[in-house]
Amino acid sequence: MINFRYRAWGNADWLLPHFNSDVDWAVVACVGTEDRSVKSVLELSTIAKQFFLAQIDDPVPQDPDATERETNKSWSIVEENLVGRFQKFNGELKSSLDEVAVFVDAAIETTSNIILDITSFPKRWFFPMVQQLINDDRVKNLVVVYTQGAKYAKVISRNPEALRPIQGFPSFSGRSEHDFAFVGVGFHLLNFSRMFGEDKPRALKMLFPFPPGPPGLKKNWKFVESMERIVGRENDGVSKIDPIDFIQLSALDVSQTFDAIRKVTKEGERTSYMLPFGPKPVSLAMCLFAIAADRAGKAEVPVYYAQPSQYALHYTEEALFKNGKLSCLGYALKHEGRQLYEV
Amino acid sequence: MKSNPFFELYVGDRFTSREFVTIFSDYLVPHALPIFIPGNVVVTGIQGSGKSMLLGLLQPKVRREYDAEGLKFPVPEDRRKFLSAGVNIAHQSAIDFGLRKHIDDDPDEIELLFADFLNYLMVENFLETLHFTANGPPNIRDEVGLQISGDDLNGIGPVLSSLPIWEGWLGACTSFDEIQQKVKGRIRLYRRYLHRKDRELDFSIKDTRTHIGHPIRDCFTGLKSAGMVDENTSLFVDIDQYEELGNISTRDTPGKKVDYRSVINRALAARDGAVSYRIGARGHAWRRHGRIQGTNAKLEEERDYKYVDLDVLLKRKEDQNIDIFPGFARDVFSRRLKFSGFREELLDGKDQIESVYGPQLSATERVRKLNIREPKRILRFDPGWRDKTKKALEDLASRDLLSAKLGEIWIRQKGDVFDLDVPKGKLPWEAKSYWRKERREAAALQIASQSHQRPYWCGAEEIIGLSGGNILVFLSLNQFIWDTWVQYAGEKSEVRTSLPEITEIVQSIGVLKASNFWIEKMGQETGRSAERLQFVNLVAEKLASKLFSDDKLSNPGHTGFSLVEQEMKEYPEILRFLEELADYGNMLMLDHTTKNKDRKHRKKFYFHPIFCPHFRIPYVRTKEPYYAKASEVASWIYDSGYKISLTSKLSEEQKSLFSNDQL
Repeated sequence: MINFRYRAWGNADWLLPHFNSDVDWAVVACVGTEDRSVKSVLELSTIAKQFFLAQIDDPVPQDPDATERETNKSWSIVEENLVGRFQKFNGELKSSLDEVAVFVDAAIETTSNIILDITSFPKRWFFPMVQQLINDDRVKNLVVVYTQGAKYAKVISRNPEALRPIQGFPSFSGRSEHDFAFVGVGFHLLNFSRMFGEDKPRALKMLFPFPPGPPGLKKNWKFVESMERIVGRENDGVSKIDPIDFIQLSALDVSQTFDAIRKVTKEGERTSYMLPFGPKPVSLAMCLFAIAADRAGKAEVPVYYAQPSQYALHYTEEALFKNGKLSCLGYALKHEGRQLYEV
Repeated sequence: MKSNPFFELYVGDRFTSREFVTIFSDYLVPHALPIFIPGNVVVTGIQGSGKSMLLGLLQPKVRREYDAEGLKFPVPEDRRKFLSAGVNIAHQSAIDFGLRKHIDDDPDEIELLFADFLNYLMVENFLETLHFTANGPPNIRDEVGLQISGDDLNGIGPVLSSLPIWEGWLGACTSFDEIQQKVKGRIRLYRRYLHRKDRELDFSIKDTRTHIGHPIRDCFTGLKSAGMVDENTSLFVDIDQYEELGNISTRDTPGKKVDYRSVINRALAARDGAVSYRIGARGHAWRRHGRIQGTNAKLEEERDYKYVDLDVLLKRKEDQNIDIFPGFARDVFSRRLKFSGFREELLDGKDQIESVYGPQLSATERVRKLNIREPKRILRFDPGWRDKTKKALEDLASRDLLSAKLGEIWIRQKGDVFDLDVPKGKLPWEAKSYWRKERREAAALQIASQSHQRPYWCGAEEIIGLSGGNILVFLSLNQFIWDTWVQYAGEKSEVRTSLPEITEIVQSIGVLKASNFWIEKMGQETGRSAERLQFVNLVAEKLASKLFSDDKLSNPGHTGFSLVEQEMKEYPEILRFLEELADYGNMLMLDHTTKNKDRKHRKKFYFHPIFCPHFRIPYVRTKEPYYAKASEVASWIYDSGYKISLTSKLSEEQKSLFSNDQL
């Protein structure tokens, strides 16, 4: 088994020009209250012609007036800069899979080259979108873009619902015994103590993002501490049986995380489920692995999530710039019809 | 061996069956007997009330584990003749209909499909129970009244598949495996549709959908008619996560919405006697929603179901003879120590909690333990007090700082007119035992605050008191205390030949950590957890600040607040929010017999005791709580971020509640 495979990823302005020059990209993105959601779209406006942009409303926003104000501000910037190049789609956090599919379909019908910008999409949306784009043979070139943010809100999301399968990623068979549970280590441990009663993993793999960067580190360890309290790991230096294992991974390297899961599960031969509570690229890798396992006819990989009902108005306060350049990353998922993330 | 016997918390369904039999305390079983008696039962209780553990006794795996370990199954012998099935509706995708757009078009149809999906999930689990029990020891088969063993299982296929209830969908099944696969196949079709693997739901399903509760009923009676199950065997169906149904938000679509709960309520309303449902729910949320699908009727207690309220059962009582929580806590404590390897003879007879944590410290002892170098500096004198009064209090402070502080408060309240040159015990505030009792806890906390020290929280009785009738909180307190102790004790923490004696300071550190943990945990719960967290923080800080600045300590009971019931009813959003706080165990909601002349019915609200160390307020409830107005509580709720529903649903008149009328 090859443990590591090269899959192109890096700055979007480096990655995208490596595709054939005649590729006509369409961008599927979410414009919200975050500054980075707008900056990300504008960054891609230099390379893509068409934009399919969604506005996704929370069921009960934390501050409805401020949310409306900030959202309008974002859209006015988009309107100024992308005149006549975008279609707007109004959705809800709880939009149905059918509505999400219609939105994605609109883009696919115009071109076979899609850039999916997950910067401000909630998991509830981008998981099934990635699934649809990977599985649709009309899509020949597929790149996921993620623009990093800075100054995260103290509480990025609130009021979680019960832990349930994320849409499009259930256990169809109802399997309840698993070899592994992969947990993306994140900021908030949202209501998933019940998980380990329903689905019994034989081992727990904590995907620890490194380096998390402040203030992530403290929150990440807090997350781990709470998790240990839930699953009962005793760090007394005496117990040899340790059901929790940490895998330190880059917080940005989707390919590395995908390979780590691939390796641990022996190409999906061993059963697993995912709890994507970590950074978006780590969640994306989990999503890609679940899709790849399904495509290869391996044991299904359900994904569970406690859907928050509210997200912070300024989830991140601003977009991250490195050396004066927007940190807008691209991950190639399909190249000339070839799938890059497979088991 | 684990050095912290409390590392794993008391989340009922987290344990393996083997761990369950060792750790489970059967203390509550006699108080919750309706669970094991035919008829529908609704079990309400906050997380940590032991609800999951009690319902866990219905699982066949748990019963078999008791048998394998040679331990007595904790259910009374004459109540053991039952089989069971269980469904976790959220986890098993039963409520995922909202993922598809069709739900907006025809909610009534979706309720019918949900009922059918749930029916098949119940039957699937029942078949698993039959398989597991039939292949288990003969004595358990006899006990439950199952007349077939593993070899005879295939006979179930034809018996069940020939039932008319399936409308022909199952076809003829010749084996057990075949019927099991057919049932699983239908469930799979549902999940494929709900998660859009299939665009449309298979038409054969729509044409053959079943009414809620009918398939499991017919299967069970079918097996009885075939002589495979005894006539007097009961079937208990545990619907797990019913309580979360109210928290699942839907899309903002006009018109009727799918009401999952009403479908389950319909199963309870059937009262056909063949199948008994077990529903775990939160108290107020349950009472608010009794609608029965397809009717305007509502469920009624005693007629449609029996009610086991674990919160009421475990609520701390002033009469120790009827307060069952301390006994429950002691039993759980002892089992944990046994499980972690402490020798049995150490656990017989005496109170192990007191052996480990020591007796309750009096307020005087807790103040003394602060070791304040110059006690007299804690005292505050008003201008104009006589020198001899000041001198007497300063002298007293060096011997008994708490008494001196109470003296300061007494004189501030009553005036500097007393002769303090009296023998010990004759000081006016010492002679007034009730006055002293009502103020000593608050005064002790004031002293700790004024000396910039953390107060002591320790002793067996205090650990039980801080648990507030919640066994999960009790275990968590122990977990944090032992964690802290293990760090100090090192290798000594491995010793199992004697019980440790954990010092007061270690206990206090552990208690504070546990308190902080529970505050933080509030935000991870379902429902309006962020607003609840904010509300508790905001109100506790307001009350604490008022308590600490009250130099006369005129209102030592202002660690909670009281509201007139009628006012609460007039503002339903306030009532619901407060009920939600109570349902999640964030606040205690108690009847309040007022001392006001108006004699109006009131409810009083106190923070869960585990939050009190964090806010440094006494958890012991004393005297009258703060008499709040609905407008004040509304403004607290509003300031906690719960703006939308309050402002948008209340009438113009009610909106005027949001005044500047602050505490």
